[in-house]
Amino acid sequence: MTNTMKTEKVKKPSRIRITVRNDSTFLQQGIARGVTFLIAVAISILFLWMVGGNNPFQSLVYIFQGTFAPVAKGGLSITKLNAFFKNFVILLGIALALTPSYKMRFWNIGGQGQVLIGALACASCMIYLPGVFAGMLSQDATKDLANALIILISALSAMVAGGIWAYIPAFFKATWKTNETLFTLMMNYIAILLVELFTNIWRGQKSAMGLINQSSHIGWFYTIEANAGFDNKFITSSVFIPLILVAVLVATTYVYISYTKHGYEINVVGDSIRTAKYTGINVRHVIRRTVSLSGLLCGLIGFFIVSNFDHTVSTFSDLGYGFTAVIVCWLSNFNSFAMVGYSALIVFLEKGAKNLADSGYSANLNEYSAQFIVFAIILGVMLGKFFMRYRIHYTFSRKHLVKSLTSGLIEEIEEENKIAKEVM
Amino acid sequence: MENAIELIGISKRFGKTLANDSVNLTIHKGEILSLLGENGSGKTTLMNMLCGLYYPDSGTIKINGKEVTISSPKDAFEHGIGMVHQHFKLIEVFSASDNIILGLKEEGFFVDHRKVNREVKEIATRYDFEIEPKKKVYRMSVGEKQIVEIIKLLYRGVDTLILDEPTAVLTPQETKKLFNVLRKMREDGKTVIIITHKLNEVLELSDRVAILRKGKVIETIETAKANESILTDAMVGEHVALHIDRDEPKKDDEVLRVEHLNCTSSQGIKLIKDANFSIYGGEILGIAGVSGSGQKALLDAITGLRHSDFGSHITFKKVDGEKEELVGKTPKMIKHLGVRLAFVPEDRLGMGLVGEFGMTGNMLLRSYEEGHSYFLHTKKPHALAEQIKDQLHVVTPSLETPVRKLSGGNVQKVLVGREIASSPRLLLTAYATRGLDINTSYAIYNLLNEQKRKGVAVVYVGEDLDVLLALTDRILVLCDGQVTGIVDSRTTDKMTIGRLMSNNVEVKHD
Amino acid sequence: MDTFITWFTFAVVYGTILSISACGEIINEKAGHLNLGIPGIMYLSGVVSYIATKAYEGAVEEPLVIVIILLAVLSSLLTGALIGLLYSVFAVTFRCNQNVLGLSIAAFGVGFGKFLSLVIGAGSTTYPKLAHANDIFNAGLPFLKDLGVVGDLFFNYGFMTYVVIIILVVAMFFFRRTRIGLNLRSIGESPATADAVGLNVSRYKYIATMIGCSLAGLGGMIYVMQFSGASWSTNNSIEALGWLAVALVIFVSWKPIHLLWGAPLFGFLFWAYAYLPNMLSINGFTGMTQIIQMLPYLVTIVVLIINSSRKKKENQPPASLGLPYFREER
Repeated sequence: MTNTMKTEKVKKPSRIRITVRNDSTFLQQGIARGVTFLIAVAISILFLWMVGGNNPFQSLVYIFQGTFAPVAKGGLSITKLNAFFKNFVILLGIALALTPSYKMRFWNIGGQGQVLIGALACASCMIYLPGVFAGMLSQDATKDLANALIILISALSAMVAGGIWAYIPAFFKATWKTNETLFTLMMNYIAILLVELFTNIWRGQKSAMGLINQSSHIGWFYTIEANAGFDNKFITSSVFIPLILVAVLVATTYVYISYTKHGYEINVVGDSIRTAKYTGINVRHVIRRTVSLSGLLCGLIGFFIVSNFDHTVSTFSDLGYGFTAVIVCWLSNFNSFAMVGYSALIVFLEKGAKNLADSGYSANLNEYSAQFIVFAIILGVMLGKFFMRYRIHYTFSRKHLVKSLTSGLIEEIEEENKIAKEVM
Repeated sequence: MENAIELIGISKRFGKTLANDSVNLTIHKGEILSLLGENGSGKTTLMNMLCGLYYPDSGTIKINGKEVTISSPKDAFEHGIGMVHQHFKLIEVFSASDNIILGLKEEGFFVDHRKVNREVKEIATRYDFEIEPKKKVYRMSVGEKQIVEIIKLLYRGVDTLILDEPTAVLTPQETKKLFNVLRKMREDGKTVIIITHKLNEVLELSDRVAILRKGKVIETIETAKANESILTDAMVGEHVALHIDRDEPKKDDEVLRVEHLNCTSSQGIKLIKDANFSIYGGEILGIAGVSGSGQKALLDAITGLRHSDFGSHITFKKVDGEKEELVGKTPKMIKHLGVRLAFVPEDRLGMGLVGEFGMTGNMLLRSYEEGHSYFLHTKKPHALAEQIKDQLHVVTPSLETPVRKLSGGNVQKVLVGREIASSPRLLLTAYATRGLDINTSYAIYNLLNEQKRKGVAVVYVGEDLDVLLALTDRILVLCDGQVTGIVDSRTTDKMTIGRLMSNNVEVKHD
Repeated sequence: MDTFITWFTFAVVYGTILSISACGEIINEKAGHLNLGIPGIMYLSGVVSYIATKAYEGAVEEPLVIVIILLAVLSSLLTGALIGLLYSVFAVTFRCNQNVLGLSIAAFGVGFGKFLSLVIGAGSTTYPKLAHANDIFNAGLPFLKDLGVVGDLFFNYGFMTYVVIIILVVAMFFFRRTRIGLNLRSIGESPATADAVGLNVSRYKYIATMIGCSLAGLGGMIYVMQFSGASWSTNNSIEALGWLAVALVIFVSWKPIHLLWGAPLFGFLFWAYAYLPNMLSINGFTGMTQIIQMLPYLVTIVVLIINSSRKKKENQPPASLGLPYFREER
């Protein structure tokens, strides 16, 4: 039998304690976020200075010019802006697509796979459909109609493909509570390998796949914009329609989550499965529907990537944003308007770092230096969220300690824990 | 008698509520002390400070005359104090013995399973426990789990054991066994503190009883000099003969008939065994039983949350006299049939309400589907929330404040208010007053009686027999999934119900 | 037969990398941390160990064997531990979402690793092979390796392969037989219970995460030193191996000892495309590579589904995986 240790020495309670703030004002929250963000920026500048030497603020100018580059004639470089908007649209689009899933606390980290499979479906439509519509395409009268049909079918099949890719893990989650994080992660790799497989088939003996329908431009969504007859360089650029679409998506996502019956069901399921069942919500159905919707929208983004921007497909079609979008989504607290800001910030930094590397300003600052800055800022925002919700107590003496132990409540977290455990 | 533990001027505050108000309490060595008090009287909080889960805001704790600081459960163990909580803290996938030695430094780097199993057996024989050291916890019944918890403490050499409502989950037989074990521990020189609100247990088991009310120790009495009425008076303060207005039931209109109801869990355990009964409009039917006797399964089966076995029948008679079979239907289908059924579940925030939503959002839970539009209509729910807030005096900063931030009583008012607002034919309630103060409890009783007068069939699942006897018209007693009797509340007594509750001797799954 | 031996050896070397990284992830998950940052940790640790070893080989005429081993091993362990520390600070102390944190670390590790390797490459993208390190990390077991086919199949690997096997066995005993292993498992199952018996939950989480991450870092080092023959390339497949390691954890149901066969099996499947057609004397069709490479992921999905449908308690993820823990007050 064990002997009880009747030691007089009792371990001191921790000097640092963390409690929930329930009473933080809007101003306090702003300060917590602002200060931590500034710290992250300061660390980034320090990094640029230490690694790049010279004047870190000169580096910042190059970073700024990655998106907003002045041109000799005056004004800004449209090319750079368009490159920025392309990435921005893709990142924001995926983040918005994932939002309904996350609101329901379904950890879909398969955005990458769902986008890629959509892109693949779109690409195969662009490759095979011209053969199907050959008759129509050969006649001037029906040529445009055929092209429009091909584009429409491409978009639809991309959405269906993305939806199915998300439906599979959702089905098993709904049926057997299969862990969705790990499942969707695996689905990413299968999608990547499928893309690799088909690009290998399509390229045949060539070293690379090249652009699809390079000469005929069949299935190129972008041509619609380019041929619309506007004189404005921005409107005729490939980012215009996607930007409008994504702006609409920001608003509809917000409305969908907050003001529709579907959105209400998503919120209830996300809060407590048992409440949802009690209310008569068909939880399995809601899970499958919502996650499929996420996949569907991811597939749509895949369509835009292939048909509108790249006119080809590769394992890197999603620009690696499948995961970044998860981060954007969470940093924004699933608020679609905040996602606009975070997406822009991340793309801005990446473009900036690329510009910094290309400028030859410092041999050490290559295009990957953005990774450090983005990481610092993500951590900064996380820290800001933490300070917004919690208060840290630090005590210097035992006496103060006893006092400090009295304040604060952790019930909020407890509730959160309970809910988290409950989500299937 | 020697003083084992002295609590002097202990206070603890949670936010705005004072859970313990300068409590003084002395615990003698080798005694069984009962802490008696209603729900929310601060018994558990006080003991949590003794076992290191909370830290007191002020006051001192003395053990064997020396002042000590207990800031973690580990500190408490080092002073020989350990507690069995109401919710067991066991690791499901571990064996009993692994749970028992968890966290012990003295075991050395390697775990000698054989030695541990042997020592666990030794403790078991000494105090008459039955335990299989190698059995995984997830395969155990509640009673077995409790035994693991107690042995866990004894193994650690704890000489002061605190048990929080130990009998709430036990059958009478298990309770009897537990009491024998506790008496053996006392003979062995151990100090036992049990937290309870059951008077008979206090009288049967303990040497002394400390009565708490509103966070204060009101009185400490030797059990030999106490009886039920003295204890009740001390516990509730002024003499409150449980007097709940009760009209004669109408009992002519059979709202629900349950025939041959059988329910089986996904693990194949029989939860309800051939239940047959009816519920009439204008009566309150009480359901009594040791917790886990099938109350939840019964309500879930009626509301469509659980599948009933083949051959079960639950017939609901609508206002127009049309009868609907509820077996095999989901809650949604039942709702669409026009069956007006309201349900106040046991877990208010986890099942009845959405913690993140405000009152308005929670009103929507019952009605969000209304209308053909794709969008939510919030006008009516908003008005309803407003109405409930005024009529039931719900204290909330605004209708949009997340309900999880409200106090327990207000949360329950929101839930009951919403359910009654749907003007049901059948109102099911599960532990509707658990954790609420007396005033709110009475407010709820009144609401139920009002429904009864309106001709609603009300089901009240409760744990407090006094309340059941005073509030309801008939009491259905469940024991291990079986209806062991339906008695008239006006003519029966607690003893009868108690016997029915423990009717079935052979118990528990596995 | 020769083809099979080559296939087998590739599978074992990949298995070595996968099993040590997966073992690191198991330790993470047993502490309740679903650390998705493993690929990044492996990548960054690989770069760091390459840089450290290169610096030493470049600076000294006659590099000492022991110094090279220590430099490579310790630098990767330390890199992993530091990221593990960062992860713990944010996941335990600052209560951040583990998925988001893990994915950020995965992205950061790979990105920053590429950043570092471009910096040391100083613009050029060719990275010299470190001759000494290659010799040391790829020497088979003396005498035993000359035992013909048996020697080729089992004893002709760099010493890290055998170290990893020992680590796996130790890990098994650690979880099954030791008190600390028992305690650690309780943290991942139910931190509240662990807290109630006086275990310092945060400390366990910190230390387990740091050890787990440093083992993953070791995996990155083995990739660079043993598999790549102490050379570096920014477009290697460390990242893919990292995700495969995460999948492997599910495949072996959180039991380190099963990695002994599970990891080489994944290695087999990974390399099947290169050797299987040859062995069966069939011409691989286009896309066969990818179809075969899909197998590990497909198998993992099947295992995931089967485990979740059978609900056998022993094969489930740690109960509190991915959830933050706070001592419950009130």
